[in-house]
Amino acid sequence: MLTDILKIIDRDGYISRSELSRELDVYQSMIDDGITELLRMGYLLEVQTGEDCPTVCAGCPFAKQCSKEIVKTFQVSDKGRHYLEGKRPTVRM
Amino acid sequence: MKATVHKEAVRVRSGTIALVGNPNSGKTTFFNALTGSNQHVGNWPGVTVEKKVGSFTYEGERYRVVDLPGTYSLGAFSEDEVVARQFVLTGDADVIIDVVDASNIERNLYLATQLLEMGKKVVIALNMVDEAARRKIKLDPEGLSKKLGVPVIPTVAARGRGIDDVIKAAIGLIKQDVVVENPVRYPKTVQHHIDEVATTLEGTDLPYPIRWAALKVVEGDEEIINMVGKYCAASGLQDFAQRYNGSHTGESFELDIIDARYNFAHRVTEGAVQRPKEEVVTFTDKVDKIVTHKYLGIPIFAAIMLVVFQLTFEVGEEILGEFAVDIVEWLGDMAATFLAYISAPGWFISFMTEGVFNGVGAVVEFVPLILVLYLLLGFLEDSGYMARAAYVWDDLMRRLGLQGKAFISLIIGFGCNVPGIMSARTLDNRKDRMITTLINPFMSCGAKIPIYSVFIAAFFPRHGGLLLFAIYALGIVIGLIMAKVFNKTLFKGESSHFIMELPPYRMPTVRNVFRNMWDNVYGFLQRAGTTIFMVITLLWVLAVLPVSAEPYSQASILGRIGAFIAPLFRPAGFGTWQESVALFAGIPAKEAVVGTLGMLYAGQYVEEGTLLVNALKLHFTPLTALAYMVMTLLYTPCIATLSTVAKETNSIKWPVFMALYTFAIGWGLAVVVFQVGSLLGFS
Repeated sequence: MLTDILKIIDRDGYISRSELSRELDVYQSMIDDGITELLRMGYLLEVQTGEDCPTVCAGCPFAKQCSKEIVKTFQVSDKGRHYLEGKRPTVRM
Repeated sequence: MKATVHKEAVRVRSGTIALVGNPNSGKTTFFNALTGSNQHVGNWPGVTVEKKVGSFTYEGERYRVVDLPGTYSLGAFSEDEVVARQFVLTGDADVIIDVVDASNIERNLYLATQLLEMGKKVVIALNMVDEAARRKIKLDPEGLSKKLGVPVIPTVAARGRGIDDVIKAAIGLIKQDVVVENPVRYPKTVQHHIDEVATTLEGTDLPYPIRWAALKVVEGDEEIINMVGKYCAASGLQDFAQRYNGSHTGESFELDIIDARYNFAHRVTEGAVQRPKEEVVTFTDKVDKIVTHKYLGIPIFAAIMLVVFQLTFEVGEEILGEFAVDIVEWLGDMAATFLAYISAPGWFISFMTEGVFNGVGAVVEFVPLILVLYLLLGFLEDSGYMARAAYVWDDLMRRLGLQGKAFISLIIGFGCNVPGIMSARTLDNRKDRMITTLINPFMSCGAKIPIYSVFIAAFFPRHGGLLLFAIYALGIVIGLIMAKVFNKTLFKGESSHFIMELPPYRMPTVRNVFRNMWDNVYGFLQRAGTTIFMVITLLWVLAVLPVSAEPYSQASILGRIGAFIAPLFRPAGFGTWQESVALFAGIPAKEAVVGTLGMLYAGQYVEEGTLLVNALKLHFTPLTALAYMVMTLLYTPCIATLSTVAKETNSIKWPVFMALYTFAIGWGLAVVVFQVGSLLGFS
């Protein structure tokens, strides 16, 4: 499930938790846990819209909304991208 | 056959049962239903995590039950997880009961999967099946049991349903010699590495199951890798780390292993759990739409807490508190009469009446307040509302680096910092627990109200409400600023991955609400009672010695100490020995500030009334009064609070730090108020 979440976020760029839940046919609470684990392990990064947001507004689905309130999204990190390319991170010993 | 739980004491213990479960799975209710009143609360050694142990008797044999902290997994990412994992692995549990929320079974099974990986005997209590039925979730306990390979028993712990069956299954497992196979299937490469590491570890005396340790090594669990390294070295298997790295390329398989657990949990539920196509809108959902509303949530919370505090002070302090004080006074009079009747020495009569009964009275006055506060908070907690309160505050608290639940501890601190700090136990990680504990004293407790009210009556009678509001707001602002400071300095880097989960609303049970109230009142009496009593007694002794000096005068030991420390407070505008002594008298118990000022200034021990107000007008100005109020709001909390911090953190370092840093902040701001006010021409 975690690998699938990672793949979908990488494929779509952005996706809601309920969409992930539907696509993977698992309950939303499991998606929440999966995202929390991926964040903890560093495969995903939490991105907060606003001044520091690295995303370009053009084409971003939250562009209108984020001037009114902070929106949290997730991005696949370098570690996550390497993993999807078949390169495993090394063990910290 | 229906199992019966006998409550009578039987000396021989036949086994130990550990209770695990996710937060909000109803584990505490299950524990209470299992053990009744046979339980005691303490801390796990070295950590701030609560340890509950109880017992029950079944067919003449006694069983010990250890309630482990509620966790979502058995990793090593929070103190709770470490405590739970250590006990499951190395404690004396013969069987584990995993309490699983039937409405949220998929998430809860992650923990169950980890227990099975450890090779432990497990019974799953499928709890709150009534709520699952309301949500039209169809469950097949037998199907789940088949796939998991362990007994799965439906329960409703709040109603006592199914508890006996769980006990029966657990005891059945204790008495059987069962080998629990790990049912999780890992990717081939991962399995290959686990086998390889397990073969290496077979020659060691590792205190953990070998295959589990091998799994954790491959998963990259640093704690286990370090421990395994030590055991390998001790067993002549030098350079385990090198061997391990040499056995494959040193790659991390953490994600693959966690993924395998999730996939297993998902497969287990397939066919055995059927949810309705469209989620059923329950009573809980309807209420939540309002109470967790983006804009209405916080005002509703504020209104509820206002009612709680009003009732606490109206009923707890005004009615029951007065009643309790009257009883103590009556007992004091009776004791004085009796001591005079038996011709006891004068000093002993004075000690008993002024020292002992005044000291005990100060404690007893608190008890009704705590009793009512916890009755109401227990009701809110048991109904499920407190989880919503945490939810509505989560956003603001997260910006300060804390979780929403921390806000509840702060709110309780407005009543009394002792239970406020005690409630920080429920927070999910050490960072949040520590920061919430350290800023709690800035939440102005009920005991400080007499101080503000007497100064307001003397100097600011027209702006009383506004000033009181400003004082409380100042406390909150300083607390939140310090939270941010601690988050950036003392506790940086310990981030919190908090999963917010809202349990369904339930009608609170009388047993749970009263148990919650009694646990807190008993704990308070045990901790605060002895401390306040001892320090007030000491203060009395210092105020009446030496015998050559007039009691309560500057010639007394207390007077001399006050004169010595008085210069410290001169920059803040209140440098007499009486005012200094009153501040220090407030460290044992804050009510003593007003009482001591009354005793030393008005010539007799008075806590309120025009005599003290007039006396204060002679010795303070509005500006020094304001500085004094700021000082009492922020400076060193009472001994009961400090001793609670010592107990909760298992260290003397943190209460000392708290005493000093709050004193410094209180003093600093009082000086700022006085100096800036003087410069602006106020007096």
